[in-house]
Amino acid sequence: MKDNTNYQDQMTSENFSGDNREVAIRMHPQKLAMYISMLSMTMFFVALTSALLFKKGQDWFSFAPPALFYYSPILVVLNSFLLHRATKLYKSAQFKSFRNHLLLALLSAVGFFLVQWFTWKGILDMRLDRRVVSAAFFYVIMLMHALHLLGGVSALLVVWFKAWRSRKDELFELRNIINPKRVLAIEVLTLFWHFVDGLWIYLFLFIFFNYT
Amino acid sequence: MADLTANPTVVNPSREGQVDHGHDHGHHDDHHHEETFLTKYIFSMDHKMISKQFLITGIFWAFIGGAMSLLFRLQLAWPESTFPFMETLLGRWAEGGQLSPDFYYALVTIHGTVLVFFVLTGGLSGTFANFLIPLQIGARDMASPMMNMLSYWFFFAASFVMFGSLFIETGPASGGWTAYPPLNGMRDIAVNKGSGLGFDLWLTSISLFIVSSLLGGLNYISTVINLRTRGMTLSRLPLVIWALMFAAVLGVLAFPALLSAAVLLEFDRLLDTSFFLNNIVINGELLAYKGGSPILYQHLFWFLGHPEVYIIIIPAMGIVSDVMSVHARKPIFGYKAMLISMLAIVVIGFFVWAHHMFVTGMSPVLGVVFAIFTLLIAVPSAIKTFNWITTLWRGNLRLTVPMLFCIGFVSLFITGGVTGIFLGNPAVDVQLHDTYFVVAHFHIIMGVAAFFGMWAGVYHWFPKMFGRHMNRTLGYIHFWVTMVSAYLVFFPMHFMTGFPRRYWSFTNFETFNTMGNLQAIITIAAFVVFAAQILFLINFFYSIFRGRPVTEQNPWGATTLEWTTPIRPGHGNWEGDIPTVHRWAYDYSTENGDVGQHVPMKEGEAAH
Repeated sequence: MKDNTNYQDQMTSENFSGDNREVAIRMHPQKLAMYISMLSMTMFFVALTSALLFKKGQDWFSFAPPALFYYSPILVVLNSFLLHRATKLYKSAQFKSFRNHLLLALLSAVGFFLVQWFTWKGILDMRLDRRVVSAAFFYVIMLMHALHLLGGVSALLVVWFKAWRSRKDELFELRNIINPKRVLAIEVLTLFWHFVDGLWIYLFLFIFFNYT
Repeated sequence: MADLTANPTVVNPSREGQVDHGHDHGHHDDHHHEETFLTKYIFSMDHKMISKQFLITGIFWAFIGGAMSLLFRLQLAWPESTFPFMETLLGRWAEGGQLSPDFYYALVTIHGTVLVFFVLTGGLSGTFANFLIPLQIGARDMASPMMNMLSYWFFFAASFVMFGSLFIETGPASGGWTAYPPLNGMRDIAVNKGSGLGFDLWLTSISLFIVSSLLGGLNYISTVINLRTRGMTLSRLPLVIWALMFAAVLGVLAFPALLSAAVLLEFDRLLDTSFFLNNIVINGELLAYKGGSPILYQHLFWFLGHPEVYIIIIPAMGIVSDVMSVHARKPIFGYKAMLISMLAIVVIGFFVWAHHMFVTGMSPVLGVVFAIFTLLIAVPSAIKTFNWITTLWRGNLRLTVPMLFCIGFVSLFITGGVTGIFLGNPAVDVQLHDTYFVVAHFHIIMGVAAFFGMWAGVYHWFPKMFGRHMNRTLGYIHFWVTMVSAYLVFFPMHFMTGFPRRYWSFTNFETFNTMGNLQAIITIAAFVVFAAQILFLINFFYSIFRGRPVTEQNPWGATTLEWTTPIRPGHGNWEGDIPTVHRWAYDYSTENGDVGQHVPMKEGEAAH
């Protein structure tokens, strides 16, 4: 009997071609699991933003976020674009460009964190009482999104580090390009980033229309 | 793994298509990689071992939660008496042998929490989804075995934190399993001892449990959707698989709302925000919390809380449907109707949460909307009940232990369901809210009924799980004593209308002093139920090691794929290729006998 690793390889390489499986949605189950987890994460933020709307219907103190806040969507759009390109470059075996795009995506993520941090500090400087519910919601929404992003940054860092470490080993790179597990990992990672980036666009618009 | 030398082939020749590798399969693992005790039993990625881990952890919590109920039942039955053993057991929480009010509330809170989440969600879905999904759909394992293992270990961590909270100085959480603010929104133990560290640990534990449920749920759904063997179309899935997938969908969509409530509540507690708190006065002093809404918490909580009821009961429904069909030797009546009914329950289940909040001052118009949706759920529930009864009707019934638990489930589901119609009506609910009538309703329909589904599953799939049989006589005693005593516990509570829940003692109220004897009868019956569970426990663990070995590959004569695996399947489940499926899961008593799902259709044979 094969061990578990072999089953995973088997799942990745042949069984999801659909030839000997009943496949309702033609994609790898782990990718499907990512889509379902995106639904779950969406529900979490829908609950948070619905709670805000519920509260807003009772009494509400509006305030304008610091100007830096308005730059945050640019960084997430850039991040998504870079990762989208990176996946394509990987599939076409352009590893040097792939690494550079990953690095730029990492930098854009760090830039986004910095923008969020200074936005947060800017609100602190307004000296709103932490018991002002609108300010508290602002913090919580940003914090929860940042925690999701942190998971993405960690995974991105691992992928970039692996790619950077093998930069002089062309054979390793060629082996990887035909390894569907590796392609899958990069696709799932990109998918997650598209999600957290898109999520921020939703949260940004939500805050924009409810606070200003 | 114990050496089981029997190598049975097909025992019932009329049952076509038995796959002939019914021998102990564990040794095959060793050919390819050495497994240590740690990788095989502790950090296992085999779905079957993970399911056993969920089951045994669930059993552990069922006994802890059950024992807690006995302690508070003693207090309710004999509030003036003292029980010296309680002081020995609980120390200063029961000085002089009488349960303190603080600890009474802690017991009620932890009893509710662990039974709902750890036993009937983790123990039920965790066990059977892990065990049955790959085996019944024809897969080697879950889509992500690693995520599956993590799911269990998050559950274990949640259990560890909750268990630890029982031993801290200020005691465990004691503000009710619903954890409503403002009581639970502040860490001020002057108000309630259980609002201190105990409640922080409660929140941590529940958050870990939510992560566990989400990891498990993602895996269950993606495995069912994309890992089915050839021929196992969605319309050929056994109902239990549909049920487990629906429960997972509910969990994946509803648990995040509870997580958001937990996050906001922890912010209120630790960082002094005011999401749920407003104008709180303690000891004559007005606290600075301003602008929050405790009702908001209730909305977030019940958005999960009500679907949670279905997360618990739908897997039990699925188990009962399939086990009943096997032991009635009849196809399940109305497969599609069963399926659509479950789907309807899942969908409508998302629009009924506020029926728990009729007395919060909500608009009566809104109340009526929620009442309509609530009463609508009676329709698919009734369809399912009808179909179970018609499955039994004129069946070739084999009154085995799992079958008896299935029949018991239907009885309990009807009894508990009928009272749900009362409570779903705002005008009636205003009278009955927070009374023993409610306690009776939900214990029967989602407590005892769900347990019956779970037991039906344990007794039915035990031979596949452990390669041995459970003792039948002990099983019958377990069923009959539990069936009679559980009704004795909860049925009389319907007549205690007006008795408020969660009271430590009723002796100060002349109105409630009339039913002392009934309280005593209920408590005695509760002890009898618990004794029957000890019998189950002995039977369960004894049978794992010393039970009668399974010698037939398919001891119940079932048609589903798990019985085509070896008696003790190794990791990967099937030795060679995974069987192909050619028919649905309910071809019992056909003109060709009982036909397994993997048996090709004969020429001219019509599919169901």
